[in-house]
Amino acid sequence: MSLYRGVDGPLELQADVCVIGSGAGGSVLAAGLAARGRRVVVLEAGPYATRADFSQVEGEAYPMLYQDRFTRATADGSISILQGRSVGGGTTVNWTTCFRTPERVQAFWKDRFGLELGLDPHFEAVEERLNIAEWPINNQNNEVLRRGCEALGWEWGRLRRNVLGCADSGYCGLGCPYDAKQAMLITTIQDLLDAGGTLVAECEVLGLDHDGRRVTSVHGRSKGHAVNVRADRVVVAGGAINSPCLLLANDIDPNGLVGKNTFLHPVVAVGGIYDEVIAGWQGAPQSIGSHQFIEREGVGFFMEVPPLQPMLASAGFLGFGPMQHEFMSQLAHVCSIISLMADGFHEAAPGGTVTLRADGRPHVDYPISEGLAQAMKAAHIAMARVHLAAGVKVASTLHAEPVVMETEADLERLEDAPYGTLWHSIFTAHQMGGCRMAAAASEGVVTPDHRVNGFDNLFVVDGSVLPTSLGVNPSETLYGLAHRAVDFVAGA
Amino acid sequence: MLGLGLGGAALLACGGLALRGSRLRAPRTTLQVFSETEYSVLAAIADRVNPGGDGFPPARDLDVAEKIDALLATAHPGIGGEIKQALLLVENALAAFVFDQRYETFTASPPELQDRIWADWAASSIETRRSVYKALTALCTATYWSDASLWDKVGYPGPPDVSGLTSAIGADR
Repeated sequence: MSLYRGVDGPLELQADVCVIGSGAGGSVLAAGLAARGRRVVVLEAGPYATRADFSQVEGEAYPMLYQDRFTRATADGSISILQGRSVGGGTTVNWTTCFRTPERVQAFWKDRFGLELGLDPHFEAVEERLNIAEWPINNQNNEVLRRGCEALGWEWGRLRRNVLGCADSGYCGLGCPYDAKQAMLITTIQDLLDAGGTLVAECEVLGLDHDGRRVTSVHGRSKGHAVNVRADRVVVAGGAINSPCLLLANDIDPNGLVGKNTFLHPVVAVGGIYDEVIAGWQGAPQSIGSHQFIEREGVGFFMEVPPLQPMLASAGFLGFGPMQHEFMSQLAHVCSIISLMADGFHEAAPGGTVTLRADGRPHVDYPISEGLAQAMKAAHIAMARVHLAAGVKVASTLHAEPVVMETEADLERLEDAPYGTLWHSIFTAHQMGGCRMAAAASEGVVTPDHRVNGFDNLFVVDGSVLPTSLGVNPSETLYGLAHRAVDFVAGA
Repeated sequence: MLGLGLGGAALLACGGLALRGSRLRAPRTTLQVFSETEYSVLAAIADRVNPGGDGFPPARDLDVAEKIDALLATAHPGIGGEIKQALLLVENALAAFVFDQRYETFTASPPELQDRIWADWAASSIETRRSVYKALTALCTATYWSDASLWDKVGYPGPPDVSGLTSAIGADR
């Protein structure tokens, strides 16, 4: 076992497999390969931050554990991108919600992209390893969503989480100091190290030596020192956005599709102020979800709630001046509902494109069509209705000039508000696509066995291979895909 | 982070001439990313985003602009570069004249006018202006509300005490 928390001199390594990225895809794959006796080296750009580093203080955690110091956004600034950047990737900071890939999504992939992935046994395996199970306790934030949906007769369901001995503290997004979240950091990364694998943290990968068919070595940099890995097989697992960028930076772009078809589950929100204390910062961030509108005509969406620590709560507030103080003064009574747009299934939500800036950073272009803006409007109306049905005192949108509602009659105000690019806060915590998997070589960047088209020994195993978004939180899909990919990479 | 577009870039090209009249503010720390002019614009915006009152301190008392400078010093230089461009666009008197028939820079404008300008940017039909508004407002907002001195004012007890926890997993190896 070798764990490098960065290096203090040049490092040369030899491996059967070099995995670039340690998130939901890379670490499950790496652990599986190491268990089969393969010499595995994982390179991770982010830090090896552990329980002792997770102070739960937002101002410290977000810059340490998220991409671009928590400032990543689409090129026009319309969508704030929350994306993890540490050992374990997004799993270190996600809110632990787990879904198997919905049947309707797998059917769409089969019809449209010829994919028959047979994921069920892989889901069973990762559910056991990561202790994925339904979470029975609602905090008040989630209880509002349940109560509102129940009153409206809308579908809602309990969510499953990958936790063991959870303290129900509510700070999953800042790293788990209890080692209760079964994130990659304390599960598959430890499996990898225990099986003799190597992890180099704080190592940014810059180059792939290749001849157009085979990659022979990987070049990175850690704390100013060169890290070179010669490997028989190379797996790109930097996640959607970063994986396409790495391929593009190394002139790997079969069919001109790398970076295209990037999906974000764009998130819009409506806040509500209640008479009761909500204390949205406490308790499992997500335990209730509603897919009432996932199959609506046009772009579907699903509803959940986010945790509400002050910094995250304020980040969604687009207004300025005294209205901020007024809103934040009532934070203990605020519940926010979010709607996540299921992009990639409808012509109005074709996704975005990742390209490379001249300075090497990703450029994420995500146009918001009129059809997607209309779906966001429908989502605002639905969320406001849930709040009103749940007994809200005042519901408010996240426009710069918020739309405020106290009764059903006030819902009409939502009709006249502007929706879409830069008119209200939009987030993404789910980045998908950009290295699409498809059965036909002409349609995808990777084959169904994760191999980059045209290459013998280069694979992509992370969320970038998803052909569409999912309409559910993506982590378990990525765990399952990576578990399935072990066979292909090990046998290549 | 920001797409300033051709119009914004063209106006910035005239920035040297247009920036005369900035009202500079002295930072309370050594700046690592921003020039004094850029810092002054950001500090002025931060004070409009969180002007204080009702028991809340103004942004300047919490060193919001200084903290943003320190944060960006640890990020990719390209990110700070975009923020610097955005700040100069806000300050640019030529742009103010072209679009708003104003002669003053943002920093030289009185607070009430700065509020009107910032509200105009929020609702502007020009996407670049809304982009700049959103980026800078969000940056100032998140930085302000990350300050622990505000926790009790919003009824937030702060995170649980996690000192002394031990790991049974071994990730601390």
